[in-house]
Amino acid sequence: MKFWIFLDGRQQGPYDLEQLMDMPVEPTTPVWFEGLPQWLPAGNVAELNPLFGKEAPATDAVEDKAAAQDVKAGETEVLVEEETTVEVVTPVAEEAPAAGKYAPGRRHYNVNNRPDEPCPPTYLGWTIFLTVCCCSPVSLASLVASICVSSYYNSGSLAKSRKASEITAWLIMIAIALGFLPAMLMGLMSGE
Amino acid sequence: MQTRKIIATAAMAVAIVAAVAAVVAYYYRYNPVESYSPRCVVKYLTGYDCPGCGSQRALHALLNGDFSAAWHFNPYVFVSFPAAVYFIVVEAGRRRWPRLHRLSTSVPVIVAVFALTLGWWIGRNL
Repeated sequence: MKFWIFLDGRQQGPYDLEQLMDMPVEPTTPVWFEGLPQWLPAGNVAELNPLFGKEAPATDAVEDKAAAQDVKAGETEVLVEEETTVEVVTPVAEEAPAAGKYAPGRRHYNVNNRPDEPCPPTYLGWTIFLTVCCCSPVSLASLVASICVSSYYNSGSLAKSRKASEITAWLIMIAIALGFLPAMLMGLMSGE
Repeated sequence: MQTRKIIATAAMAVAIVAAVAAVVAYYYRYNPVESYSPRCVVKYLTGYDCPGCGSQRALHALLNGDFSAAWHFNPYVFVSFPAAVYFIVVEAGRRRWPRLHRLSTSVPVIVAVFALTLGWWIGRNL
């Protein structure tokens, strides 16, 4: 299950529950996921109870859940609006919001497929630096991984892009371990 | 929390500056041909030059003002050092300049870097 949250004046996501655990989500932080009619404070979303030290709900049908929250929505809407109308996200200029897909959130937030999050690091600079220090096929592999970061980001799959970014970082570390460290040792052994 | 972040950033900056200064001082002072320096593993294993081979000699020549010698050892450093610094800076500020970062690390740019590196690798060994 993926959640979008509204934090630091902008909409972020999608995140897993585990990712949200590491983030400063307050019970008042607006949250949205597919199936919710509108954004709700995180404290009112039963699925997020583990974040606040409460028990997770039994996994019933999501529809029931959404319906139940619909009822609660009446009282919470005012709260959400008060908190966020000042910092309404202006839609990304190049793209109109994906009409219909996440229609309920559209009123206050720009929920569309294009992530409102900067591109994850491609580590391009480090890879180039690596090719000057000691280039190995691993450096070229990390360049390929960088390409994946960028192209996944542009196609809107932020999670895959993040994963590729992680892989790039690992490849760079492997390239350093395989190339640079033995190079230092060989320099020592050549005894000059 | 904010103070800790600032201290961490400052410590990181000091560490990076110190490391760069140490490397620059070392290559300014010592010629890699005569004194200790890392040896390229790829060259040792395959006998072919890698794209970075000669960069230490080139760096030494550059720091001593001998540009033509540096070009002779490895012309690739003239492009790659500035490019690496540029991309690292842009990436460090990717939250501040998301658009610049997105354009700088777009697919065509990385593909171009890849092609350039591979082309230089093959080309210098012909």
